[in-house]
Amino acid sequence: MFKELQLADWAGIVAVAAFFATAAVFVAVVVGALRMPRRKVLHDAALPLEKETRK
Amino acid sequence: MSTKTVEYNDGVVRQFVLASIFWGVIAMLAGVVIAGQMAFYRLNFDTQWLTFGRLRPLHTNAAIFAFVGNMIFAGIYHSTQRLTRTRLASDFLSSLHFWGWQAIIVSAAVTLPLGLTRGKEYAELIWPINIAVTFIWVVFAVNFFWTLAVRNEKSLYVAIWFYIATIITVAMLYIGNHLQIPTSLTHSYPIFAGVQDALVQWWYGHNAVAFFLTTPVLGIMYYYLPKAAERPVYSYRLSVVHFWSLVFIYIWAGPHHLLNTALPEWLQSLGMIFSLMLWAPSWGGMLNGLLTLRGAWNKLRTDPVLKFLAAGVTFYGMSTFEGPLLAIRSVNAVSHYTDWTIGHVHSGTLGWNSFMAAGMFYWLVPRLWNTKLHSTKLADLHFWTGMIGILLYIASMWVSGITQGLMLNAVTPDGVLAHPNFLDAVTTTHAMLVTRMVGGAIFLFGFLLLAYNIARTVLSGAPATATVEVPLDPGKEGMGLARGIFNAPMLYSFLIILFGTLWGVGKGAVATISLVLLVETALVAMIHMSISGKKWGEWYERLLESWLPFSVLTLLAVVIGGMIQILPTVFIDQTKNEDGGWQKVYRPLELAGRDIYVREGCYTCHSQMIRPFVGEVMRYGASGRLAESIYDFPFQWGSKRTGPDLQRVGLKYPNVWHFQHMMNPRSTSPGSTMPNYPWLMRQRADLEALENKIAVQKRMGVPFPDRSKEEILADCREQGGAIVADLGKSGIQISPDRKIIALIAYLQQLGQYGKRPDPQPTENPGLETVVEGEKQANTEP
Repeated sequence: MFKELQLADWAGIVAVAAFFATAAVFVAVVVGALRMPRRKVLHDAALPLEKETRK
Repeated sequence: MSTKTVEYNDGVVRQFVLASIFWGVIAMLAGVVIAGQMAFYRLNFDTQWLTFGRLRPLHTNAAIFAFVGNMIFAGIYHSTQRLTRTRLASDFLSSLHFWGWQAIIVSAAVTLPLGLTRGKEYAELIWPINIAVTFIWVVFAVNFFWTLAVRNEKSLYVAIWFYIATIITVAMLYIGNHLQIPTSLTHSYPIFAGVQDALVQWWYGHNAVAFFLTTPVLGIMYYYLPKAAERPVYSYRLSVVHFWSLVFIYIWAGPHHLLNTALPEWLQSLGMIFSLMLWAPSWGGMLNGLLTLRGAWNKLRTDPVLKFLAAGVTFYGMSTFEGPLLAIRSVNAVSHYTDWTIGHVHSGTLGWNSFMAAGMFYWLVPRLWNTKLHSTKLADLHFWTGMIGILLYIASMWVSGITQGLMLNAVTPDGVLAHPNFLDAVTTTHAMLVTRMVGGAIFLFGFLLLAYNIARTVLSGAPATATVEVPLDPGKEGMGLARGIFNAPMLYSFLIILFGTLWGVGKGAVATISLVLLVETALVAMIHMSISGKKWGEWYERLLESWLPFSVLTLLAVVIGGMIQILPTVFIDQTKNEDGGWQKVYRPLELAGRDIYVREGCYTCHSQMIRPFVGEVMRYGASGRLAESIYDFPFQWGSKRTGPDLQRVGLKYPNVWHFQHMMNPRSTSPGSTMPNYPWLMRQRADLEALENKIAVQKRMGVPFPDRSKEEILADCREQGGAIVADLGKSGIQISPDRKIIALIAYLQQLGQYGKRPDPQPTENPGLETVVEGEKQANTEP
């Protein structure tokens, strides 16, 4: 009733497709992170540690 | 190298810090009061603006938007200036942001106790305030992105990514869940109803936790934890993975708030799967935070800042372990609608948000006022009182929640409810509710220590001016929007997603061809990457330095999840659902009663969604159907049962029972903790407003018959008159225009349409169960 059956005809695959899409992007991002140059990683990681002058 | 001096705008940071502490006290005080009301009904004082149903939204809104909101604005403005080595782009916008936000909070603090509400959790504020929130959020966004655009540091540190995700996603969620049509200056109906409204609400509600209470605080963690530990984050690469995976996955998990309801199965599966996937990024982030303390653990003994931050991150790990656990359908069957969820939420807000806020304040305030913290011992005392308060709170809620879940679902071997009286669960858990109140009070005491300590610190110093020397030419490289999005890595990702989806969706040849293309694309991408790996790395590196394409990709990441969940249920043919007899439009007086039900916050304690469990069906009647709420603006499925479900309460009790129950719930249900509602007998229902309300609902597709205002009022008089006449038989004299009459009219029709002679009997199993269940159950609302 109330379209639940209509949705179920095609929508069951949404979870699978969504999982696949997210997994693909996740892998791409992990690869990107791992390939970041070390120089860039060290520079960025040190950004919060920069000093400032207070008066 | 030529340099210039940049002076940071810390004035607005100081303002947000102090505002956060002030509103934090108010929010926690309101929390302790309503915790007391749950245990001792007399604390409602028979006063409408002090009742639980009105104060609970005040507590949640104050905690989320006033306390944490001001805290994250302070943290974002302070750290962004340092990370970009740039003063905030506009002092005017910064000031407008601060004062505008405080005006919004004050408006909320006035309107919510008055009963002016939209009736949607964490989205209760009325439409004029919604517009103000949207405006101020835009001011915040412009100020923030403008600062990024003129920054003096090429790289965008990971904390800023979390801030970007926060600003973009909260804007999207807030607008999506606040689409509404006003019926008056203080009232409106959401444009969605029933299941659509439920999905949009929990897409918003869940992600308000994700993108208002989590991502900005993670950004704060990635800035202040290295700062306090005086060492860089444990793994910057892990923080990159943490960010993207969290942003991609979080947005999908909203349906886990609607598990085991009438929500389509595929959506429930989606919510559960993505919730479980959240374990990985959440724990990755937690470990990254804790491991940043490597070699500095000894400082925890003496440094209250690190103590609070480390405990806060640990609570983040604990609550993000518990969240996916509760999203498993079988666990959710026990935990949903119980205090367990309340305990889970507070391990996040008290343990994660409040402790991170405390750590940040103790680090920040001495620097902002160029002085030392007034008392480290007081800060330590705050830590331990806070810790004891949290543990008492969440442990009592675990015990209470699991007890409620098990008791209310229990069925004896003879096939009857083990605890047919709902109040058995209320009285059994009373000691836990008292313990929760005590835990909350202890936590509030600890926070008052912070307020005192900070006040003394502020008074001992003077506002400091912070400056930094930056090169005249910072050498920003970055890239434009087109180059950021249209490139080989993005193209390959898109193709892989496309072929993967077709493989999953398609059948026969389509599936085979898609699989072949998927494998080929992946191979080509790998070969291409090995040849032009440096170029790919360069793209990614420059993407992380380009706020605009970065923001667009973040928006895409969060939009996809919401679209896939919500759109299929929005674009359905509503008219077909009117044929099954499951629902019909409300009569005018019922609609007026429904608005009173929403106004009094009844949904904060009562659900209207019976789950398909033996215990629930026996107790309440046939499980809820989607179609039953298609005219419900807003939906009332609820999220907590301090009292029983009301989906089929109609005609279960006579009118006089409801009248007496609303006057004094103990008169009909001994042991009930529900407040008295004496003003409902005194106050007139706003029947004059019905014409406009009905007109608005008609615009949204509800098939109300065409009627003049007089005909609407005549219908109210007819229905109200019948109720008054019935009450008169019990010696009760009351005018038919009182609120109680409208409320009774509404309550008495709940669940009635599902009982009408059904044209399609095969689609309506369980009617016999309803009747049997009613005979057996001895519940009380």
